[in-house]
Amino acid sequence: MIIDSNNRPCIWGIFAVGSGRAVGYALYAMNSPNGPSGGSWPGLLFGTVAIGLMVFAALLGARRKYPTLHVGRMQFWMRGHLWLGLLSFLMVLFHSGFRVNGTLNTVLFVLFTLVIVSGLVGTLLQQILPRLMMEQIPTEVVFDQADKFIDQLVSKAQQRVESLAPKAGKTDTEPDNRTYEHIKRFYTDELTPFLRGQKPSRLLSTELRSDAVFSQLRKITAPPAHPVIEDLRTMVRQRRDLTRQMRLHHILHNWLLIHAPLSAAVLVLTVAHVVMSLRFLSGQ
Amino acid sequence: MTTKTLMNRLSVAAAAVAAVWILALTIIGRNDVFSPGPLSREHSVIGGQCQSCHTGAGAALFLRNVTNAACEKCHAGPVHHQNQVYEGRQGVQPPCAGCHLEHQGETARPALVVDGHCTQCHRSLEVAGSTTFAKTVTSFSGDHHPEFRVIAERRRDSSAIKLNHQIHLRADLPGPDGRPVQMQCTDCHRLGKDGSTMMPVEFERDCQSCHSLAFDPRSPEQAPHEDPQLVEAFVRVELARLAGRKIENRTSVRSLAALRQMLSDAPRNLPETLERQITSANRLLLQTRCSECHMISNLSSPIPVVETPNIPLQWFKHSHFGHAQHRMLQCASCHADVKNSSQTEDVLLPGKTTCLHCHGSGAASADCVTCHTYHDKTGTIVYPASLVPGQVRP
Amino acid sequence: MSATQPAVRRIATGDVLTPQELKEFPFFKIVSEKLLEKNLGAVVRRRFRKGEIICREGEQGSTAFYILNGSVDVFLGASISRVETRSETKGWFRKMKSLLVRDSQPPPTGFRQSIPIDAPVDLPVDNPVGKLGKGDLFGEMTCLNFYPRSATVRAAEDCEMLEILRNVLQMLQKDKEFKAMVDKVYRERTLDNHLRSVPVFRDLPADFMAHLKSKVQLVQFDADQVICKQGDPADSFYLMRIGHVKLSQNYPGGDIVVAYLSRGNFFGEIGLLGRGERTATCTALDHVEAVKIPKADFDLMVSRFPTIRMELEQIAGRRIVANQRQSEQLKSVFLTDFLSQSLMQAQNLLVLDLSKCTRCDDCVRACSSAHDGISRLIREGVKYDKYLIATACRQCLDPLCMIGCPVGSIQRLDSLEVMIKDWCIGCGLCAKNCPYGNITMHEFTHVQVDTETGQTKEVVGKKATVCDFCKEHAEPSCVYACPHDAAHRVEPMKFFDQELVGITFPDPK
Repeated sequence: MIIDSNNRPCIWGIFAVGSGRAVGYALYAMNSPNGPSGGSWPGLLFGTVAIGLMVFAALLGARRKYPTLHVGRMQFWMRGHLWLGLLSFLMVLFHSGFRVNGTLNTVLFVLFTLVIVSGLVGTLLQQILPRLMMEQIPTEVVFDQADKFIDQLVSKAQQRVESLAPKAGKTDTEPDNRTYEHIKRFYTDELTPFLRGQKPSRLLSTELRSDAVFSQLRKITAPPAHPVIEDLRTMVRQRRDLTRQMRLHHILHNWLLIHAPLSAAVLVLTVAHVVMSLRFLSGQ
Repeated sequence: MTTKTLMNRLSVAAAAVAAVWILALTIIGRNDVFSPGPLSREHSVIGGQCQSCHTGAGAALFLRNVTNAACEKCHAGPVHHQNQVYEGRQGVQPPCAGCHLEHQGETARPALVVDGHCTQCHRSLEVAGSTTFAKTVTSFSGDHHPEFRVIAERRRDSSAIKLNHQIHLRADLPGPDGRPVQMQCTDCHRLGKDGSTMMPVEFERDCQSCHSLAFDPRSPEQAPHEDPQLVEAFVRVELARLAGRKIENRTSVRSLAALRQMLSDAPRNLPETLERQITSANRLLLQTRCSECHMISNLSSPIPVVETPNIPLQWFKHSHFGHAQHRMLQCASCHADVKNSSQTEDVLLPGKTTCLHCHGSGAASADCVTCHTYHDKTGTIVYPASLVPGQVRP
Repeated sequence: MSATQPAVRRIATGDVLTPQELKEFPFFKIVSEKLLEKNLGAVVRRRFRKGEIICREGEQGSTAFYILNGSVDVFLGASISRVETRSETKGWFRKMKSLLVRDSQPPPTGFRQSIPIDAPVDLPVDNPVGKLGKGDLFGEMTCLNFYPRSATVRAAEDCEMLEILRNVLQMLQKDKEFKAMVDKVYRERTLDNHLRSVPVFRDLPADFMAHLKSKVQLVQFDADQVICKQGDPADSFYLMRIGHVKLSQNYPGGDIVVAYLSRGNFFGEIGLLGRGERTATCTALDHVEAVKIPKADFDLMVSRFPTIRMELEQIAGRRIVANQRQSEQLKSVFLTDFLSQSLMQAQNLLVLDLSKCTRCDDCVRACSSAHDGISRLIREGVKYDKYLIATACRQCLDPLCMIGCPVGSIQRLDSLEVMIKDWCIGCGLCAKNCPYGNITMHEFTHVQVDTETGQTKEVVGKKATVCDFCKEHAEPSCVYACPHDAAHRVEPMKFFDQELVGITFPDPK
């Protein structure tokens, strides 16, 4: 979500809580003979708070499956996820005393850090990309309908091309025949594969080259075909926009493929960590 | 496939992988994945057998903490104070694992307990009744640690012995064969088997080479360094032998048992000349040899009494000084006053200031455990049995 | 816009009547035999047993029925209810879903008390059941204009009827006798109710009503014929019987369709006063039959009832004020953009802020989950600055959805909001007509009591629904569920006003 003035109270809140906890941590670290440790009671307290915050953050995924449940607005959950998630990282640092030892602990900490970092990356992307998409892609299509849109483009292109086919019974003029042949060949060899995204097209993938191609086509064809060529040019431009939209869409969403699976693993490993650490806890 | 579907499947897969990893390791017994750090080198013999120490309190099914019993299987941890108050309760002993940390890495030493564990009580000690112990000790430096009591109270050595270090350390002291020698500290003062504890000076080993107990030019024998009664018996037997008497069961063994046997077997009521010889030899020994070092009362009586010297074996009762760790120093670096000491009463131990030269500047460690130990190990220093103070020979 | 014309020229079931047999019926007299020969099979005799269903509401049809013998029950099988988005009220975890609820409030005064259907009776709202008997003709609108059947007809006893295709019916209607017969039935049975549904005529005494009834003209119009033009002097009053008309107003920015009227609607009360001009153009969309009351006739009657005149004056006054207000709003410069994007006077808009929207589709999922899996929201629509006006009823200038509703349940209110009333029969025509796909057909299973046998059974019915911003709740589900604060429900006038506040040009003097 956009971090704008609506988030300010959250930021102040988290800052205040975080500072308070930091002071608590400093006092505890200085006063404990063995140094800060996860097993001391302040360490356990930080750990418990961290787990609580992590579970709340993880519940966002479940919440989104039931969007109409009256358990609080989705924005409240999203803001909570962001800020309390960051706070949980701080709590984990305090719990661990800023050091990590042991296989499970190291793996857990590394994965958790990756989760936090990927979440920060995702938030950053959400500040920039929506506006970028809005500005760069005026003819934005609903992403799930992209395939249907492409089908529509292809069939429209086919219609326009076939409208130039020489009609039986009329006198076939050479220029018209040639025109149709040119355009039909262009349609089959370049246009359709490009629209379907089957192979990268050197000719049509940028505006500069595409315009050159079409102006060339206009030169070698008869004037009646020019409106059709103009329509084809527009379709190619729309397909390029769609490609750009898909790329931006993937950037905007693919960080989730790291964030969500790793956080699932983190939750499982956290359970293992809690169970085993409490089991073997000594020195209290 | 949409991003959302892929994300959901990956999440399930990731969680499954993590769970399988943990369960597999647990099932095959590789608990070391849960270990929060490597064991110290000394304990590496345990290997991955977590249950060697993590035996858990008997009643709890799930908990596997390290119990004191588990440590005491191999280590002795004598109690510090039977009546100490720990965490508000009297007579409670803290858990071993509370101060001795493991899983801190290979080079960590679990025995090195940080000061905080000691100062948690000793920074403000509350004792029922009065005590001579300092009540506020927080570190070794400055005013936070009291001066050693021996020095602070200017104790004097009240042993019943006569020793003048100054004479012994003279440059032209006559040696065993008459030629002048320069004595070194180590000629008399030796370290024990542990290399650290300074052993008491033994007459036979350290003094007799100069302070001979010969009593008759005809005999190479020297009198034993024993009770005057036994000395008298030995002299009597030797002089009788020299006079030609037949001695039965003569043995050159000088054990206490043999000397006692000699006491009962010594010929009595010998001819007067012999008796006079014996008496004067005895008197000679007592007056010129024994009295050189010992305090003897009733010198003129037939059986004088030699005062038990009672030389202290250990001056610092509650700390341990390891001479081995200080062997890079000269004896006089710390025992500075020895050359000027002519009185037996002089206590030639260094004060705290001397120690602070190295142990206060950060060059040497100044932790509590450097000198002190929580576990009361006063009964564990081994001294030669013959020299244990208080054990009087008949 | 009428429904597409099916290709059948012959009726499949029933006994085909030969031209000779047909000639036995008086009203087939004028129709030439040759024509009947050519159209063999366009008229058949059907026999129905008691309890048989003759036609169902919402079905496609192309025939009219003329009852020779027997009687039939006419009723609406669909429950008289509308779709409401409710939350299940158990505790804190409340989910939203769609329910069929009855309108618990009494209809406001002047509102229709009966549902107009394609037959000589109208069904009362609270108990939509009627009866037809010998000599009644029903299904004309379906036959002539190919609209879906507006009600369910079941044989109350064994009956015999003629089923007639469009071409024959058109021929019949040219016959004066036939026309007179049908009109007579209308005048006797239905005109009274229709007239009384007009607020002005509601409380008229019976003798006045009888006089009025005898004086009214029953007029017909063909498709695309202009009935009256905006600006013309208003001189008559029209009450719709069959067919659809379009009421449109012309503004500097363009034309706006105020309403599509069909059976039971009326327009032009101002014309009764003989004062003022038509405020809208009325065009017939298909074959239209209406009741016309010319001013002259009316004057005579009104002179006897001054109260009616006063009421009319009030209505006229209100109308004029409303029109003025509307035209002022439309003249405002910065709204020309809105006009071109059909956003003119929407009370509610659902806007998505594209600079915050991450295209996660949670809003669509929420709408779907609040409405039994059928989403009414599509994340596509016109863009205005950084806002996407999502497809949730655009309050079109030309509401194509309103054309063809067989029971007239989709209407435009004075606030110009398009609403679907409780007696929607779920035929789906409006959903087909909406070019943006904003109307969704919602299936519901509900329990119905069979009026004859008294047994209950489960029936799957459909209702047309359109996004109503989850009116029953504080927030629309999509706004509630958007994690990025990108979806908003706004009143466009206020919302965009705030953006434009403070833009003034100081007086050069």
